[in-house]
Amino acid sequence: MRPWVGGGVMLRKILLPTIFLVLGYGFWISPDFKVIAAGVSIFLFGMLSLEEGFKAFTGGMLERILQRTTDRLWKSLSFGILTTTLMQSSSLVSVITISFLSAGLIELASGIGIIFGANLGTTTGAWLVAGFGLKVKISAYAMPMLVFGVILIFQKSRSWKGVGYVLAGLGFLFLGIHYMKEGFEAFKDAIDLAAYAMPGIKGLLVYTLLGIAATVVMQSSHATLVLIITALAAQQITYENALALAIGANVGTTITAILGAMSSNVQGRRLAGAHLVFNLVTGIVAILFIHQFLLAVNATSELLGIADDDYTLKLALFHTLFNLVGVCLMLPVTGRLVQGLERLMQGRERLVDEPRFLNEAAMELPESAMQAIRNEMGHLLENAFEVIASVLSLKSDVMKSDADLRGLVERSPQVSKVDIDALYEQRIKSLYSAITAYISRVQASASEHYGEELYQLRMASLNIVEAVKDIKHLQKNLVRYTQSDNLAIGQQYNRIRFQLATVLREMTAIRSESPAGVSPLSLDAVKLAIEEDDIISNGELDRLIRDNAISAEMATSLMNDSAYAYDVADNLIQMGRVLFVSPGYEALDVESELILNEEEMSELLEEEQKPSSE
Amino acid sequence: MTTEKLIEKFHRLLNLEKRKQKEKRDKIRSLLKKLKQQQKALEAKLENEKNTDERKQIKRRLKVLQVQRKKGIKLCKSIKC
Repeated sequence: MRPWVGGGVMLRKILLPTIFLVLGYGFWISPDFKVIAAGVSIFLFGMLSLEEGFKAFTGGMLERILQRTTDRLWKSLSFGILTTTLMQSSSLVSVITISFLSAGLIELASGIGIIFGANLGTTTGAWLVAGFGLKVKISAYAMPMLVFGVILIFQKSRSWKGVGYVLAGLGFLFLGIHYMKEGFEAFKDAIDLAAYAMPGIKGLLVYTLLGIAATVVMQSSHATLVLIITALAAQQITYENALALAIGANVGTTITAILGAMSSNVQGRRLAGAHLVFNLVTGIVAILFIHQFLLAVNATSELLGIADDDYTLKLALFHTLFNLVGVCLMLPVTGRLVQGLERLMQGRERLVDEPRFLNEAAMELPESAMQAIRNEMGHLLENAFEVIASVLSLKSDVMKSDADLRGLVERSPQVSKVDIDALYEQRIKSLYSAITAYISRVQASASEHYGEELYQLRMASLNIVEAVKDIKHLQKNLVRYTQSDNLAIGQQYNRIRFQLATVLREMTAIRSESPAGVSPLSLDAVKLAIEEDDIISNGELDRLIRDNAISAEMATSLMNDSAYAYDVADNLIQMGRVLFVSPGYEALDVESELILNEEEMSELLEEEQKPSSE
Repeated sequence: MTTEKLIEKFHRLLNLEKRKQKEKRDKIRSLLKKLKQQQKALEAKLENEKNTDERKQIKRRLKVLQVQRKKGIKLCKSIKC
């Protein structure tokens, strides 16, 4: 196994330089390739911007509208049909759906419904072109969208900023598609539809592949369909070959969603997978039952009064029919499709953490319910420690080891940013909500005897959440100043890191020393440690300002962030006094009387600040 | 006379308040003993510890323990244990 592990690391190390080299060589030999690659990059940047924009609306109106309009399969299907008909681009609807999904605005099943709907909606394009010769050209909007988008991004209001990111994102998407098309112009000429008419099954397969290739090249099934209809109207290709091209275009259009999913999380990739599965299945069914479809098209044409030789409208009808059949085939298996995709594409990041101990059975007896709450809070605390440790750029298992903390902090003095909002959503929020709800239910059924303890537990879980929120506030400057050129400020922020890591380690040790029940007295030393490190009272901040080691702006940041660090530790200590101490702990009453009060703490601090012998 | 004494003893036994106080005295005594043991263990640990941060931490714990013990002794005296 070992050589492979080494090989994997080696491969990862050389992958990026290799990609750069290959791309660089490609740019050198082909200007077209450069334009295509730039198009893909702009497109992906648009996706990121779009996601950023939609994130501004999470928890707000957009979420409610989307939830209401996509909570049932028929609703999401109609949503897909309507939006695609309006925008005349299934690709755009699918990439926007991917960004909705990535931002957590909708569920995977709703996303799949929208994609199915988009496949039906896109067929209206063929009708418009074949029937009226109309073409909605959305790429013309790219430039104004970018301009308006960027202006809005500079606004202070969060909502306007969000709208700005969405607009700029759409603008970049269109611009990216435009460049991809431009770049492919050279290749497009090579696809001469009129040159090779082919009858029979061979023609069907070859033209399907041609349709896929043409759509991948042009980044739009709509554009391919326009081309097919024009060629068909000019009798450059046979009707059968045109049908095969339409099938191919339907499969090829998934490339945009696949590209879009590249910058997305696992949910987005699953949706792109669903899109591919749907369009492949529909395509295969259309190829296998092409004769039956032709009969159905003829019969429906007669009903609708379409002339026998009006092949362009017949093509539009065929496009609608086979997508409709696809939707009818796939709708009943949507649930299984979701399960299959979830099994096939496992998220690298752990998804939302579920409660482990809060079950109905424990609710039967108040004692077991109380224990379940305590166990779940332990789970929440472990997650909170992991989150705090990751913000400090330390591994959580360091807290359980004897490794030299100061050495660890000094060896990696620069803190990198973590997505704490996502971590909070995944590791904290769901557990906290579940604990709060469970406590309320226990409170309603258990006797008054448990009232005080339940209240204490509720406050302790709030303390855990507050600690995580405080570390979130701290993160911004922790990242900024540990990466700063000013060594003094970097050292101060690393001191905060070390201080908090020590608190986490001491609390982990206290808890593991006597898991059955900890003495509340043991937390006093932790409390004293954070008081001692108070940069304002120990005169360190004044010294730094006097010596011009840090600027006034840095000093105020340091003061605020020291307060946040203090709050993190204080919240954890308050929590520890409840959660770490077993409710049946015999000496609890006596020990509580010996806990140091503020006056005693101050006396100890004063003593500490006198020059010591060591 | 013996009957009176017996009644008094019985009365004392029933006196819940006093019984509680005795319980508390016992608890404090055993707690003080526990704190003393912890102090000795920490002092021994301090002698062998070389790491500056660890030494600082142990010293801090010792200081806190001393104040807690003082408080405990004061409490003990106040309830005449």
